[in-house]
Amino acid sequence: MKVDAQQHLPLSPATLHVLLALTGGELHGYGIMLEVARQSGGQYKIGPGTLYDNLKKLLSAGLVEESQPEDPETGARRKFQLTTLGNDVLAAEVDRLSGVLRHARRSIRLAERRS
Amino acid sequence: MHTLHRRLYRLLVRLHPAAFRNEFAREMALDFEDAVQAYGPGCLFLDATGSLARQWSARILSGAPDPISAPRPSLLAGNYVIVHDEAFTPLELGRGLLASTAMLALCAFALSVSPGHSPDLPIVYAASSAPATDRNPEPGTPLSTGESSGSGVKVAQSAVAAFAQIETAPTMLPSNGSAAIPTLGCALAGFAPTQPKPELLLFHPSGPLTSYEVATIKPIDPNTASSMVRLPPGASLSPLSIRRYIMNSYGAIYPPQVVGGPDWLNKDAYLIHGKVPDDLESALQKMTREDRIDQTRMMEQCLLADRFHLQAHVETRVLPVYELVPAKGGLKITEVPAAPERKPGDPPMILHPGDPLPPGTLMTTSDSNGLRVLEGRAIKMQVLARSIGNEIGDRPIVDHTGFPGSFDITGFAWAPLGDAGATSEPDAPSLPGALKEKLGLRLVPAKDPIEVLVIDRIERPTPN
Repeated sequence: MKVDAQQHLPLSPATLHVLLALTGGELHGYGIMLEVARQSGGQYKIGPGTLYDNLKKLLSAGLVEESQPEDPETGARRKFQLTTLGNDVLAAEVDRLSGVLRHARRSIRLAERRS
Repeated sequence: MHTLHRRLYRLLVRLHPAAFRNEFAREMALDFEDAVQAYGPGCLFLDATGSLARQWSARILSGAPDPISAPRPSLLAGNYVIVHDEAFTPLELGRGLLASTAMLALCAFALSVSPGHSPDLPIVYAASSAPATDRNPEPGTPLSTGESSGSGVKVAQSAVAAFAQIETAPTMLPSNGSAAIPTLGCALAGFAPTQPKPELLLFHPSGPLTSYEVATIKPIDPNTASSMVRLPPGASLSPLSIRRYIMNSYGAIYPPQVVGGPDWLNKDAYLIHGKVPDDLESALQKMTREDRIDQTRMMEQCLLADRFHLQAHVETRVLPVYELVPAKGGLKITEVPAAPERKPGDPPMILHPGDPLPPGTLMTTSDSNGLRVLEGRAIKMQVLARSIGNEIGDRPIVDHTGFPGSFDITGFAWAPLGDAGATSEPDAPSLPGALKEKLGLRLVPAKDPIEVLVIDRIERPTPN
């Protein structure tokens, strides 16, 4: 499973945010947009175009699945949720980013000492 | 929302490859409707254009044929005819120029007045105690959501305002003597698609919300959820499912008006008790009953946002309803003077057995024969529709009688739905039958736009 997860790394910022938004449970498209904006304190917002570009890729890669199909009769909207693989990929990406952050902090500290 | 924006966005979506379009076009259009206020149309157009470029480039680079696009014949296929064209005469050129200019002017004018026809879909996020300015982000500013910064409240333009805008639009044109253009422009605008005013409006205030000073939330055995619980000092309340609590706080009359959310909303029962701040408590005593209800709803919405982390938005959906309309024989009840308006500070009405109903009130009871009996004094048709809607239950009842006055209703009895055998009067009419016989009204199945609250997110509270 972990090997599969590594194949999808690194994630683009939009993909990372979409996966992160879905950790709270199933959401429809606009719910994901709102959650992404909330997570970033409003600094990073994605529109429907970017969202569904990414969802299309995530669906085909099996990282996200549809939890509720659309129903024009009742007006129900499609909802999406993370798969187990999606969870693994997100965890692996967070590990990777943690390593990058550690390295970046160390480099900055060293640069500050030198100057 | 501007109709032109919506059309442009749908055009952009339609330009996507068919495989993508067929899978996501509806959701993209719905998300655009939801997001256009907060994100601004420019950002969303750019986003859709970027998506368009990415999708087409991905498709071209992958070289895969679009499986859903139907093959089309080449534009160059077919029979060819040679046309010997002659130069236009000055008269023909002049007529063509005039006609095309007039058409362009008409189109421009129709586009400039048509936005007023489409009322915005209000978006409401569960309120918190944050100031109103935080809950009303300007278009293009970050949309504050969730527990940290409260929520956005956008008030819908009413259909009345939309029509008023159309009425005034011609006066904004330069008065250059061309009276025919505004007239025709209005006529064209009149044919633009309109969205009727929604019925059964929800309560989503735009101002700052008050909150309970302190609130306790205790999970209760759902089996006891229908029984009253006594609270000190002498107050009592009924434990509610959270879906019912949300309905109450947003003024939803019928269950279909609250959509989505997890299953526990219907199953878990909680005893929620909020302490009203002392200063508000004394102010509430001086308010009218309606204002008191609104204040309570605001505090409940605040509690839902803070303790349940509720995120929700309001949509207008076309739902099955029954329309209450006059029957063919005409109305069988007579109009009476309207009930006097309740004044701020009036004591709450407490009815004792045997007391006559005060004007403006309605009571539904069950008699000894098992029949449901409705008595009303100086009540509006809307109140009657709401009351019998609770009896029918499967879909809302909307007042379309067109009678704005007040009416007395006496001796209006019917066999309860699905329980006809339980009454000792087998010939008792059903509710629709009694409506026709006694009141001269009938119920017509229809589909009407209704305001519904869509739950985007909610969490179980931490009991205290």
